[in-house]
Amino acid sequence: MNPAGPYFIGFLLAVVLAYYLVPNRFRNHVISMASVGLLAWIDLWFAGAFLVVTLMNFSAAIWIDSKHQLKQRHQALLLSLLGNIALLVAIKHSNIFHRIGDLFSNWLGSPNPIPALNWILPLGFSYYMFQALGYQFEVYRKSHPAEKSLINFIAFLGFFPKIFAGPLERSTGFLPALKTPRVLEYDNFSHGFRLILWGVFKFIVISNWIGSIIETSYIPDSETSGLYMMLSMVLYTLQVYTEFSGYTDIALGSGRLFGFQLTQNFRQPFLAKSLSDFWRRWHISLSTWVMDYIYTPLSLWISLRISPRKWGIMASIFISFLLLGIWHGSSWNFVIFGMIQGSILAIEIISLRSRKKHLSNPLGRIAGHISTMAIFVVSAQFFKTNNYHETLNWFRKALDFSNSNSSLTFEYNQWPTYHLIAILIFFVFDQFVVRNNIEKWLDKRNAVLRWLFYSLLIYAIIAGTESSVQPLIYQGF
Amino acid sequence: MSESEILLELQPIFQSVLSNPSLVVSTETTAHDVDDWDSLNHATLIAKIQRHFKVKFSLFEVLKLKKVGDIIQLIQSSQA
Repeated sequence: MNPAGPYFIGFLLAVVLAYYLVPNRFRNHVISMASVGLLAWIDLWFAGAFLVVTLMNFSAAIWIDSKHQLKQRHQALLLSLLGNIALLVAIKHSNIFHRIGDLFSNWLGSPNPIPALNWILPLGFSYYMFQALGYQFEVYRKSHPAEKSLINFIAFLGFFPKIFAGPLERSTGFLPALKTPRVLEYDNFSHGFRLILWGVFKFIVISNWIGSIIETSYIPDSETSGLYMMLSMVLYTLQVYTEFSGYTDIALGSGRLFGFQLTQNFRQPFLAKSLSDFWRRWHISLSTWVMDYIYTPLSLWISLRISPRKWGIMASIFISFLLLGIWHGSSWNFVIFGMIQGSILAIEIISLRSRKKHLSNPLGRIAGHISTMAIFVVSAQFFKTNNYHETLNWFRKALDFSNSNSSLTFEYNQWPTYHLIAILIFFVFDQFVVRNNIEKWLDKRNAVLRWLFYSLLIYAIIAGTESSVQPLIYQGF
Repeated sequence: MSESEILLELQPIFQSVLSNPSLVVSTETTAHDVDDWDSLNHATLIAKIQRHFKVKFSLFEVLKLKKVGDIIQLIQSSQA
């Protein structure tokens, strides 16, 4: 099921109708049943895995909360975290030992004794797992008591608009929202539908346009020129953005229909001045999760117990972003992605003061923008290919300019000028005009302009759906 | 030690770690109010405060800190 597709939208509208038809006290029941029902509809295994994680975390948090002595609380949290991590490794990273075995068997020239398990990853697994881990941590540090209603807990962990790819919601914000009475409000519907429309447009139209331009560059042995591959590399990053931010808008808009404000995941990421600035603007709910629940405790622990020197901070940031990379999957590609991010962020974090001086002048800022984008565009390629050998071969081919004198067109793909102009217009409009806040932008327009804009989007979506909709990249994590 | 005495001794620590000699923090100051009080400086700051006041905080206690006033209370309870 695709979150921008007609089945999901139809399901969403049916659930919204049921939600407002029942009294307030049963609305969380509707959310919970719909969320588990959607997972079961797609695959019974998905619903089963979700219920195991839910029941485990629901009871573990009550157990942690029942411990009043600090030492017992520590032990309860540790056991709960270990249980969750074991489940995460068993289901999501089941092949990690096989891959390590592969590495050694390649060196030793012997067959790999560890078999590949190839389990199907349940939909939204990493997202609800991370929310559950954050929840345990908040209960442990007494930010709020453990949730006593299983219905509310299912609604928090599995709220279906965010099940595909987040945003990662915090228990500190979402659980209280679930306990607040929600009424039917025109504003929620108007803003919700706007967000959904804009999200579907980005997801289906722009992302598919980009996909059609770049697909040939990623076919092994295609006769694409190095320059075209470079262009595809930049466009691929934009495709990930349009698709993921489009999906996020659909999730946020759907949340509004139920009366919830979900976390914004993007804030003009292409205007970032540094990689640390970039991670404050890109997949915000994940990067802040990593900073709050991994980096901060780890850096403080090293600082308090081992050494207050800067190496501790550098090691903490490196480990945190290495784990952020591995969160996407157990392939070496994601390990390399995390290592690139972690190393550069570690350097950035200790050179903060000297960089501040450079960033205060326009040339320094431009250099900051360009280098940040270059780093991310290059590291994002590790998401596109299946393994690091493929990635390295792809780069080798892209950097081979020996065939760049040949025409930029090739036999099965014309140079897509009109699409490129349209994508450029979209990019400028999205980053400099809308600024990841379509609701605010539309609020300032008059009704005629607003409806003209909606009509254009609907026309483009209808025309765009003629081609097949690609599956959401981030859904795979 | 009283709240004001601890606050007075905290000022030079904040000024030195955050490289801002004119910085003056109050009990209500939070990390959001001070430019360079980021995650990097926070860990260094806590380590220096521990050494200066000869106290030992647990990770649990440090993670609950929200403002300078909380740090003062933590120092007082650790000295008690």
